[in-house]
Amino acid sequence: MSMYGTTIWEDFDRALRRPRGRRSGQFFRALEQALEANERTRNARAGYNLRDTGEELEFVAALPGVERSAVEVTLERDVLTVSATRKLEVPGDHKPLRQERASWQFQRSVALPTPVDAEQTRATLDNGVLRIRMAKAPEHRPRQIQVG
Amino acid sequence: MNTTTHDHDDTLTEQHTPDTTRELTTVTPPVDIFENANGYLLVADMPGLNTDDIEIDLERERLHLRAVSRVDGLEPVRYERSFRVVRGLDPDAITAAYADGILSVTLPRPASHTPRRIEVTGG
Repeated sequence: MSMYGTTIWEDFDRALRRPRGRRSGQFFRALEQALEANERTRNARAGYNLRDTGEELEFVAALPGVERSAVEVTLERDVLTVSATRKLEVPGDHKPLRQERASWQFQRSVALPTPVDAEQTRATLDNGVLRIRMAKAPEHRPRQIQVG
Repeated sequence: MNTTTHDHDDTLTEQHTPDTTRELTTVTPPVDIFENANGYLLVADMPGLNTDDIEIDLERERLHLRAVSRVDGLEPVRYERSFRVVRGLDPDAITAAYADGILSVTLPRPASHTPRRIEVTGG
């Protein structure tokens, strides 16, 4: 016996619990909204972002529950490869009532738009966010030209 | 700017409460729920937060989890989840921890729900 409802149904349920006057005819709209929200949710922080900050290229990915030792970052020529593994286990003497979180393997190979200096690449994992900062090769960094 | 203009009848206009986080995408974090003899453990994937950003409220039989994550380089999101929980939880007994982007909330079983062995006494 579970004492918890499921999310999507709770969202739906909440939508249906709007003031009486607004409720009629809203059944399908509420269902649609709940499904849409669910879809947005899945995509909001999936994958990774790569951005150019001028001096550097930065790769950012949300990887909750991944330990440092489970992340591998390699830079070969201009291809950055990131792999991470998350393995979930039921804690100690507990028994699962609901399991929405999954074990997964994250693997991405990214062709970088500009050459980078592998020696000046740093990776951090903070609060479940992996950030890899790669200094661009000197000739690809922005240079300010003095007006003579 | 606080200028108010009354060039139209606004008695029927909907009241908008200012909400600075309105533009954020709301994310429903995936949650695992576990049970043991002492109570329940709720585990949620909520990457990119500081402990100060996390709000956990118990409102009667509803437990709300809310947080806004603003991380440089990632889309800002609002995490929101609520659960119906057993009656009689002690709000002061609920504990939470945040590590590696994972929020863990421990809900001790209310005293009245703890299985108790009743001694049978002969007479």
